[in-house]
Amino acid sequence: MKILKLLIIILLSFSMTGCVSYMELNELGIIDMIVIDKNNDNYIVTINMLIPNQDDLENKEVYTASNISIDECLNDFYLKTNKKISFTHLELMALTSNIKQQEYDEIINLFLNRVDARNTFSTIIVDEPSNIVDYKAKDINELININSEEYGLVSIKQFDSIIKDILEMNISYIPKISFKDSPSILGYQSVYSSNSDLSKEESLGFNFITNQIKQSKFNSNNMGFKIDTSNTIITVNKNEININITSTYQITSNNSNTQDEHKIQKIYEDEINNYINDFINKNQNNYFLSLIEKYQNNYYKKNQKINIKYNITFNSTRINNSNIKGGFHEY
Amino acid sequence: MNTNSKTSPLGLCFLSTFLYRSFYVIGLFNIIISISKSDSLFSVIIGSIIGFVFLFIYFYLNNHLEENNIFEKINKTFPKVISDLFIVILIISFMIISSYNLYNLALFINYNLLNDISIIPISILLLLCITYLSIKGINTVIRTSGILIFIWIFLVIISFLALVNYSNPSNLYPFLVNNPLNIFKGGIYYGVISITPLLMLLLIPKNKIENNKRYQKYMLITYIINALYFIINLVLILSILGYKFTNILKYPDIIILQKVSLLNFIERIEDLLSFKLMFDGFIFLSLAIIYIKEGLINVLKIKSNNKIIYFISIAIIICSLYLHLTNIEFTIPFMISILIIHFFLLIFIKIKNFTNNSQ
Repeated sequence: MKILKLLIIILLSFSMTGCVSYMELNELGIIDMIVIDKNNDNYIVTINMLIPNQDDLENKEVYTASNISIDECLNDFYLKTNKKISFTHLELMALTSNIKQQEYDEIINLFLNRVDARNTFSTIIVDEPSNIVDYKAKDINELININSEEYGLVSIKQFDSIIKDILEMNISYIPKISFKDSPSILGYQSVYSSNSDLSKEESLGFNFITNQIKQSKFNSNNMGFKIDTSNTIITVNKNEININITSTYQITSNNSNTQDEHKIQKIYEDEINNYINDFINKNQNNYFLSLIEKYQNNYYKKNQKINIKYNITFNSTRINNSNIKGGFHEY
Repeated sequence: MNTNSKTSPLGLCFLSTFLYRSFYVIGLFNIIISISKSDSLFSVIIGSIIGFVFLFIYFYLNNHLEENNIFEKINKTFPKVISDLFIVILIISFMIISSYNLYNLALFINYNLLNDISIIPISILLLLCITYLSIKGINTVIRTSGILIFIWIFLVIISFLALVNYSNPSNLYPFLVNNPLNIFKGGIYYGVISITPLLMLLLIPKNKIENNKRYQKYMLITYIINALYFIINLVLILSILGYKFTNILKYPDIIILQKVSLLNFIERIEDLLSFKLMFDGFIFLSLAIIYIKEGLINVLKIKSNNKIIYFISIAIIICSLYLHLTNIEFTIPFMISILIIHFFLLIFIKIKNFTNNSQ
């Protein structure tokens, strides 16, 4: 018994204290941003490595490698850095529009099999991959986050939800940001089974359908609307999809002659209706098909070609600005 | 084991909660998802009902020959050759199951906590602690599970409260679209895998349990609570990840724990929360070593000695590192053989009782 206790103490003191596989923190190359592009047959991978020092806690180094696979690119970084690459604190992955279905499969496999990668980092599509490294990952995430909470054009898209979308729908919608001059959100881009940019209206329509609107603002018929709350419920019956949107809104400006409550409500609902129709008409109906597959699986299996019918209903409530503390009174 | 001391039924219930989940994170969850897919929930419900049948085998055997443990019961019921054969099968089966458990527990630790350390030092360290606990005896294992259960409950509540907001019921669809045979097969797997470790409790004779009249009731409540826990956990995982994503993940529990964020500033605590998943294997292995030791003492007719525990531990670690068992389906025949032996025992006891009564 004494021997066993002694053995445990010796082994624990050597292993638990870090003597096995010992590594100093400054030997780790913590990556907070990875940018993946493809040019012809080669991947171009850029990483943002955080190397804090006493003078600058946010000091970083940027490395770029080009090779036939992402794994090979990661290996190539070891020709340039003496630090062990770690994705434990990866905050942002930026992909370009050149990344297609096959490349997505490779990226998913890579990150699912890497034990140091958490799959909760956010993902974006960029048009100018060379410029993005000038910005901080957390600032870009904050840009999307603020947009999501105040305007509702895009929402943070975590990598694991992209995998889920691809597995369930063969398509995913990722926020697209332009870095030509300064960061500017463009809307969503569909990836995997089809690569196409969504306009601002389509992006808003997508967010309404997927119940991702927290707040939003838009203008219609010389009137400014602000959505305070929105909740979308979708019900599926065979090939019929009913979308019910319950929302509360207020009018931020009214430069039209319309004062009639019913007319104002109609303008408000028509505008949202247009956004949703824009998204449905101009984009593939994979999203609706996946809903039918999920909720009406037997019907989905029996029917080769499904003619999807959809119906949008609204349950809108206007909040008068006078009811809001600190709001302006309109007469 | 101190022969005079009595075991509290509540302690045994705490111990049994860990035994039910011995294989949960290291294969049980994955195999149910891969067989039953989106209908896994129904498999678990069916499995829980099947589990009741196995649970009543345990109750019956526990109530018969109250002063004897399982090996003595086998000895008294069957002729010597058959009883020795049954005990040897039980020892080998639990040996294989323990090897699987140890190897996969070490893999789990390697994958989630100690990425840069190989399986061998992890297995050795783990088994050293388990061996130490086994040497201390079954009452210490029960007391340890009594302490761990409170830590486990605390971690489960934190995880649940933090994750419930991420769940989306639409991810649970579609329902009842898979082959009913597969749903039933998943149910049988759940019943077999969750109940087999519980049969190790037959090591404790009923007369060594305090207030043993209420014991059966407590165990039944514990079983129902565990089945509900499994169902809630399954619903939580599937409603967050969806079955297609869950099916390709090795440890879906860890993936959802990565999302835990308390008060928006306590994040990245999945390593701490994942400890709740390791307690089960730890307790199972401690009890399995004691079970195998008692079996060897019974079949070889040797005196109880701690050296046997060292020998068993070494055998388990060699077996686990040599066999590299990663597929839980490999252990199913061994678990079924354990259940069959207990079932035979039940039948023979019934026949004996019947013939005795008729005489």
